[in-house]
Amino acid sequence: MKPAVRSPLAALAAAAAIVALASCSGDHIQSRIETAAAMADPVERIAAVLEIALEDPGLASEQYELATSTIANAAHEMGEADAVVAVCDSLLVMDLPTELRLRLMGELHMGLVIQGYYAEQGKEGFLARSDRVARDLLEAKGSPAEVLMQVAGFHMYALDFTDPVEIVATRQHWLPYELAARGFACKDGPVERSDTAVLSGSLGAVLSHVSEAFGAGRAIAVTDSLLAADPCPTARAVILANRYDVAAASDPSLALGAASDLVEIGRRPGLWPLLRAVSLDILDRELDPALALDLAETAIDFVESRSDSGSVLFAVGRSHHALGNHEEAALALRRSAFAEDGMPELTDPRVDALLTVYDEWGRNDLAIDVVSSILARSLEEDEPSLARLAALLESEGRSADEMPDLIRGHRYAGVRDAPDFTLVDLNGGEFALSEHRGQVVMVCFWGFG
Amino acid sequence: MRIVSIDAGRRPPAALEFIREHGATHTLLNDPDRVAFEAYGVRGIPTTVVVDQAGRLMFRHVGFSEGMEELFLKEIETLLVWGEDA
Repeated sequence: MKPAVRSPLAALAAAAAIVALASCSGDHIQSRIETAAAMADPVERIAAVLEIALEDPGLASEQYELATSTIANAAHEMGEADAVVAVCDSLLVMDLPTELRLRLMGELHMGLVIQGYYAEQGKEGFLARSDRVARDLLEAKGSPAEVLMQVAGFHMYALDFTDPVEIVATRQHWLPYELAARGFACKDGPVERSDTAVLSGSLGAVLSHVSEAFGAGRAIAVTDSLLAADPCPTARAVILANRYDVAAASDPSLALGAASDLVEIGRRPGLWPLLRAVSLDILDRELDPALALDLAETAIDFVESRSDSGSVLFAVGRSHHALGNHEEAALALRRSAFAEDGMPELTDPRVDALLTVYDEWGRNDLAIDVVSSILARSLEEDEPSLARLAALLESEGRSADEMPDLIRGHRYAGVRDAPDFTLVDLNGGEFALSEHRGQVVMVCFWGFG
Repeated sequence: MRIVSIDAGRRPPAALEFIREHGATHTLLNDPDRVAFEAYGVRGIPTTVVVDQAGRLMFRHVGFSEGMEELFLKEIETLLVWGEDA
């Protein structure tokens, strides 16, 4: 059962009285907003933040962002999505600074989508309302890029669960892509992976509908017209990746043309997941391993973490394998398989690919090391893996009697030291990981804040 | 052994109230500047790592599903045994 919603209008009216009596502290705006955001009572928090925003209509964008998230979080505490919608509706009738209004419309949209998700009846009503809010944001002047991207992402979600059967390329289905493209065009600062994910996902959804309803040829024609509109390079790369996707099955030559264009234009931040996906698809279809390698090697320059590099190295390794470059393939696949902390399973595709390469290369001695490392960190008796290790030893003319010592000797192979940290606990005391040597420590990262 | 949980950024007052109401027997840390989050490459939550007695990062999991508590227990027990072997 969802918690009862406090009447937001009545609560806000009471809070407005508090605000009217409060003296202006004269503090710096940012610290005033942060102080207001730390207030315990959500209604007072909203009122205090609103007072600051109304007092000074020329706040910086980051301050409006903080003000909006404070209001939305406070409303959420009051009654989840229902309260977010009610509070936003109450505030949006006021004469607000434009940017605050636009950001609150973004929160209203999210609240409506969530309400629609949980509604047992009348989902179409929530979609219709969220559609109107989204269009207003699209047409408004000055809608912040991140709000447009957020709304694009949530609107894709809304269309997904309210309209799963209709496969028609209506204007409604274009809305997430229009929002994302507009957000993209007006974004300051570097393009992030999440931005390209929303843009690509929204375009992919439309093209998928068009393909199913009218055939791949029509979807390809859609990408033609999008490319002809001279989009910015990053958006062009997103369109090319989707063009590859729709054409790959029906017109491999055209698809490879799009992939080839993607190599050059894809040398930009935020695009590596698309390049990786196209590279792996080319390999799966056995089309052009050299092109797959170009795409993967372009992507590797832009990854942001070990885990990300591991996923791209899989494409690099498979490409080299397809080209017959065993040594390069083995190097890339090994780095891919062991990119993350913890040990992969023997059934992991990266490990499987690596062992295949070692076998073809005649280097089962290296395969023995890999399987021994994996077994060394297994928590259960893994009969299939033990059998595999025994078979590898036999292939090298060695005895299965070596297994216990081999496994034990690999227990800490490839393991890194846990980065030290010193942080403060609830009572203000310090906790330093390095002071807990001699203990097993389980660390759970649970909240982004 | 020790169990530690870490959240990043500024903690909202409601979170502190929740923690105090429900009680917590493990160590709760706050990482306002995401120093530990970045050092461990945390991209999804929850991310759980298990560190052995010598400070080695032995196991890592992203996400949580039913039955994982038993896996964590097994990992901790295994490390305690390996620690005696060392």
